[in-house]
Formats: sequence, C-alpha cells, structure tokens
Amino acid sequence: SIALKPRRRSGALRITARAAVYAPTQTQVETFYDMLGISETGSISDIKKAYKQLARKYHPDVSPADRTEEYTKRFIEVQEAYETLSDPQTRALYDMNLGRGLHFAFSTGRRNERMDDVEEWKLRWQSQ
Amino acid sequence: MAEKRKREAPAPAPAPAVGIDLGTTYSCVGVWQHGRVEIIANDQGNRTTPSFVAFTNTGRFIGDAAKNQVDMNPTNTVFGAKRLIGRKYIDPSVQSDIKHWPFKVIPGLGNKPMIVVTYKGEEKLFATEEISAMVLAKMKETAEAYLGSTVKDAVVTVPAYFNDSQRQATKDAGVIAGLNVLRIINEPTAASIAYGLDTKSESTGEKNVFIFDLGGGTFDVSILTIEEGIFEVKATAGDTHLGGEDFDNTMVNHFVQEFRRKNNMDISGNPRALWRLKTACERAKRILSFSTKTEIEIDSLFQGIDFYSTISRAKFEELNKDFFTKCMELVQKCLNDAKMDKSSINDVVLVGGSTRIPKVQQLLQDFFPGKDLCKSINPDEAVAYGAAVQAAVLSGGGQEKFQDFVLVDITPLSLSIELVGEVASVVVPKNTSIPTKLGKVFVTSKDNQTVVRFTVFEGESASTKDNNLLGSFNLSGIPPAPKGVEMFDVYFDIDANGILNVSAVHKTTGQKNHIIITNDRGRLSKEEIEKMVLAAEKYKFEEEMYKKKVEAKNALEIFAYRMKITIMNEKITAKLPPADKKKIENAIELAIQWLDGHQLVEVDEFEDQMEELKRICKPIIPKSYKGAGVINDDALPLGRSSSSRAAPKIEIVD
Repeated sequence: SIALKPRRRSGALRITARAAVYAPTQTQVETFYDMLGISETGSISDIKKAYKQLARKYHPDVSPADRTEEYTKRFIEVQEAYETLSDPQTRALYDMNLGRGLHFAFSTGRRNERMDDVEEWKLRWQSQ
Repeated sequence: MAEKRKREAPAPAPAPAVGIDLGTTYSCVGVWQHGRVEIIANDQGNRTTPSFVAFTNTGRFIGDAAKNQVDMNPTNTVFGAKRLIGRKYIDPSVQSDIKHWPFKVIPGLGNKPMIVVTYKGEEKLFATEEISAMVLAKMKETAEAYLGSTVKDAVVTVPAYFNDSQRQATKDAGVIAGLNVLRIINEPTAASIAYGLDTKSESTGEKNVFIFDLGGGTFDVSILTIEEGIFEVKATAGDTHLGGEDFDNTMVNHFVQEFRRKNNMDISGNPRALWRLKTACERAKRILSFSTKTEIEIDSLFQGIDFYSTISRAKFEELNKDFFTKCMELVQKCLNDAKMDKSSINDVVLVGGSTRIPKVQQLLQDFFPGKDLCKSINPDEAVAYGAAVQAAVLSGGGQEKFQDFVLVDITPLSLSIELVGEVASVVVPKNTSIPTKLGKVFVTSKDNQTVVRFTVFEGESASTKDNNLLGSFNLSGIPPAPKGVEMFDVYFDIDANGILNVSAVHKTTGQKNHIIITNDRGRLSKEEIEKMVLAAEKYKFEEEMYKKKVEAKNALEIFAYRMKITIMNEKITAKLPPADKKKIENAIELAIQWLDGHQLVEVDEFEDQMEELKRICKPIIPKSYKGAGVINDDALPLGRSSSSRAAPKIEIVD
C-alpha cells in the first residue's frame, strides 16, 4: 500500500483512472541524487549548490541554441529533483520509497496539493 | 520621404535590445551598455514618461506632451490603458474605471473595450493594444534617440499577476509598435534583478528576498531566493487592479462629496473638473508622503466656484485603509504559498512609486519587525533596469558579464482542464517553476463517447466559469466503450517564455491532438494586428509631417527675425544701395506677416517662403552664417534636413 499521493509529472504518468498506483519507469534509472550528481547523504547545501550549477548549464536561456530542447528537458528533471530533495518532508518520502526499491525518476513535488477524486476526472464530453 | 532616405543611408549597427517597463501611469526604458544599465531620459529630459496619449485637431502626442494638455483636452487624452488591456468590457474593474475616466470607452467586437477619441475632427476607435503600442513606440523612440540606431528587440514587463490574455495583449502591443518582444517578464522579478545586481558585491550565500511592488495601477509581491546570479522565484501574489490611481480616486470621491456638501452641486459629470481635481489629489498624495497635512486649491473648479480644502495624512490613510489592508493580506498569502515564515526573509525591497507612502512602509515594517526596508534601488526605475538586464541576457548582448545569470520564474496562476459540471482540474498548480512539463490522466465521462473536448483554463477558482479561458481542442475517433474506460494522457508544456502547449494522447489508439495557447477569444487576430501596425505607421508618419511643419515654420521664423536684426546693422548695410535695402526690409516684413497668417501650412510653402527670402537677403547674409553650411544655396532646403535626430536648426552662429 502506497501512502504517497500521486503526482503529475512527465515521463511516466502515475495516475490512472482506476487506482493510484505508481508504475515503474521504463527508461530512467537515474535517481534524483544521480541527477544532481550528489550522494544520498548529501546535505541541503550540497543539493542547492548542485542545482545552481546545473541550472546555469541547462536553463534554456543560457543553453546553446541548437540544444535547447534537450537541455530544457534536463532542466525540468533537475528542477524536480531539486524541489523534491530540498524539502525535508518530500526528501524523506522519496528516500523511503527509494529504500523499498520503488524507484522512479519523479516523485511527489511540492505542488501536489490534493488527489483528485477519480470521478472528477471525467471530461466534459461532446457529442458529435 | 523619410522612408526613402532611411534606405539610402548606410545600414546602422543594430541597436542592443532594450528593457521597457510599461506602467499604468508611467513607463521607463533602459539598456545594457558598457557593462551597466542606462535608464534613458526622454526628449523632455525625464527618466520616466507618462503613459498618456492625446489626440487633438493638429496631431497626436505621447508622454509628457500628452499629460501636460489634459486640462484642455480631457476627453481625448487616454491613460491607464494597462487597466484595460486583455480585459473584457463587462469586467467589473473596467466598468468601475470607466466611471473615473474623462475619455470614452465602448464595447467592441468580442466585448473588447474600445477607446473613442476625436482626432483631427474625426471620431476614431482604438483598441487598448493600440494605445499601449503608442506608449511603447514612444519608449522605443526615446531609446533610439539615445542609441542613434533603430531598436528592434525588447523585453517588456507586466505585473506578475497578469493573466495570459493580459500578457498576450501586451505582446501584441509590442508588435504593433514595431518591436520584437523577446520576452514578457514579471515586474517584481525584474525589480529583483536590479536589487540582486545592486547587492551582488556585498552579499554572500543565499538570500530570501521579498519584493513589494506597489505602482500606479497594479500591486505585486514576490519571494525570490537569490544566490550568485541564480534568481529563483518561489511564489508570487498580487492584484492587477490596485495602485496609486486608486488612492487618487478615493480622494477625488471624498472631495466630490465635500464640494456637493459645500455648494450643493455635483461635479462628477464634468470631465475637466474631475481631471483638475484628480491632478490636485495626486499632488496632495505626493506631498502627504513627507508632510502631515496639505491644501487643495483649485480656482474656478466648477461653474466659477473656487475649491479650497485641506487633507491630512491621517485622513488619506483612513480613506485608503481597505487598500492597504488588502496589500498586507497578499503579503501573508505570498509567504504561505512559498511555505516560508516571515522570519526567513532576509530583505524587503520596495518597488513602485506608491511605496513612498509612509503608511505602506509602516505596515510593512510592523509586519517584518527588525528588518530594514531596502530603498537603495530606485523604485521608479528598478523594473526597467531589470528588464534591460534580461534583454541583454536573452539577446546575448553581454555574455561574459551574464555567464552566471539565470532567472527561474514561475507561473502565477493555476492551469487546469475542465471536467463535467464546469469543474477545474488543476494540472499545473500556481507558483510552478518554468520551464515545466506536467501530466495527468483523464477518462471519458459518457458511455460510447467518441469525441472528447479538452478545454484549458487559468485561475484559482474550483469552477471554470470564474477562471480565464485559454483555449480548447478535440480528440476524436475514440472507440465506443463504457464511460471511464478510455484514458487520455494530457501534458502541459510551458517553455521559459511562458508559452503553454497542451497535448492529449489517447492511451490505446495513440490518437493525438494539441493546442499551443497563444490565442483566445479576446485576442487580436493576425489580420487585426497587421492592420494596426499599418495604422501605427500612418500615425507616426503624420506625426513626423507635423513635426517637420513646425520645424520648417520655426526655421523661417528664426531666419526672418535674424535678417531683421541684420538689416538694422549699419556695418552690414553701409555698402547696400538704398533701394536694395528697402527691398530686403519689405521682404522680411512680408515674411513675418505671412507667418502670422499661416501657422501650419505644408512644409513646401514654408520652404518656398524661405527660398524667396534667402534669395532677396543674400547680400546681407553674414559669411559666418554661410560658413556654417546651413543657409547657403547648396545646402539642403530647410525642413528637409537629413535624419530626424539632426533636426534642421538654424542656430545663430556668429
């Protein structure tokens, strides 16, 4: 049983209409720590330092024009890693899941305020 | 003519990108040059330019010239366009603003507010974007006069709390003004750049900065973390309709009531009286920032009645206390959104003219005890300053300097997909860092549904009807199935420019569709923008023609009076036959008389007069005058001189 609220991140989507289960990601094997290039025991200041260095490299405003798309994608990942790990609460949850082998590239972010009721997801429909 | 000459001239070096703070009441332009930001003064020598556009029988005026003539021409002087831009006519804030404004606003196509003025004796309708474009064009010209080349690229600022329609409309205004808008950036973020660079040398480590930006028309608060050139916006809150104008208006209402009590007369239907009262109130408000009491004196305000009154700082504060309370509520809200305690804020930075109000400073000081309010940056110029820096970064203008500079901004409003029953399902919560990509899964709501409509909204309400519609698209060809079976991945992609791309994929069939949100119902179409660009060029041309006429007239006038003085000089006229002298005297007199009767005729006519007078006066034109190259036969005809910057001037060069 997963106590985590589902998140809404790119990569693998974790919310399905039936149940909130995390699907293991297929391609990403990198942990957030890998992304930031720090150890799992890294301090908050290590996390911030690593993020800032990577932001300077991958932010689309400063990345080489021919690699903007690739770098933007990386920036978004780094941003997610940074946001998760720089909040002690979300970092603890992430670490817990990592320890259980529930390893995914994206975790709960600070933005996940509530889980929408499944029924709510029903789209307004349009008859043809 | 002007166009032709421009093409003949060698192509000037491209001007650097500029930063423009397009304000509700004042605008400001800056440029990064020689390793620093230069805030550029306009032709009147002012570093901020009133966001005013006036239409008269003779022409159009923008900036100081427009603001200075409101008294005489209140119904044709437009200001506060920022309070209309991107809004619908029926918006309650638009309805309330219209009541305070002397110019007329009517509902146009798609419920867009349209401004009605009389220009050269004809009634004209302008979209808000066009008025803002005129102000932007003025700022562009100011920069061009300073830089000596054509400005193309600009970063334009908007309140952080502006919604997508307001941002897009501001961008359209830039296009109409002939600008390539590199990016629309948030005003408090821009101000934080000014602050960040200002304190760069002395700061070490990470700083949490609270930006309090209370301007003429809008209020924004933002919390940023700044360290070594990385600017991370953590949260932002605000009110796009709260500022100095509102404080003026409460004072105006107060005095309108006082006038009614004293004289049993209502001045609220008289635009000129209201404008004069508003001007007096604005002045009083400024005085009350350093004095505890001031007087209002307006001669013959209404039907010959003079109006004299006083207002204390305490009264001013009481009149506006609801606004001030609102400000402080938003300060708290922003801290809550950033999940920060106020004690973790290192610096509180004041931006915007209205932060000079002592009550505002006091409330902030009480809220952040023991913290100095940072006033080291200029509250009127900080936004343009930051925009100029961002313009340099984005255009690669100062690369070596900005190697370490990165700005990570956020989306101020939540973005959602509409569900059955007008429910907003948030995909991108407010205060999410951009660029970003977020996804969510949706299912069908009806049995055998083969078409699904994805409607995108922006705003904080749980009900879409209170949010701002951004756009919608359909996904069809879904195989019939019971409701809730068919699933769709919906992604919201936002780039660093804030451009939102929403895409949906049907999980089983892989059917795809997407929409790039750059358009909504209230926005100008490409054709409309093109039409407005042409109109703007026409107005500019007419304005240049008017300027040339004035210049040609002045040239003739100066020359005639100069000759009048010369002909009286006996040293020069000694060798002149009396008949010739008489002839010259007559010609000068005729020219002066002709000028009196021909205030603004065509440039050619002034030039013909000039040629004629020059021909007759030739024997007495001093050598030094000729030597100056202004008035010899080979010189260009006056008033048709080279560029607009080197305006034809006859200087007295003896």
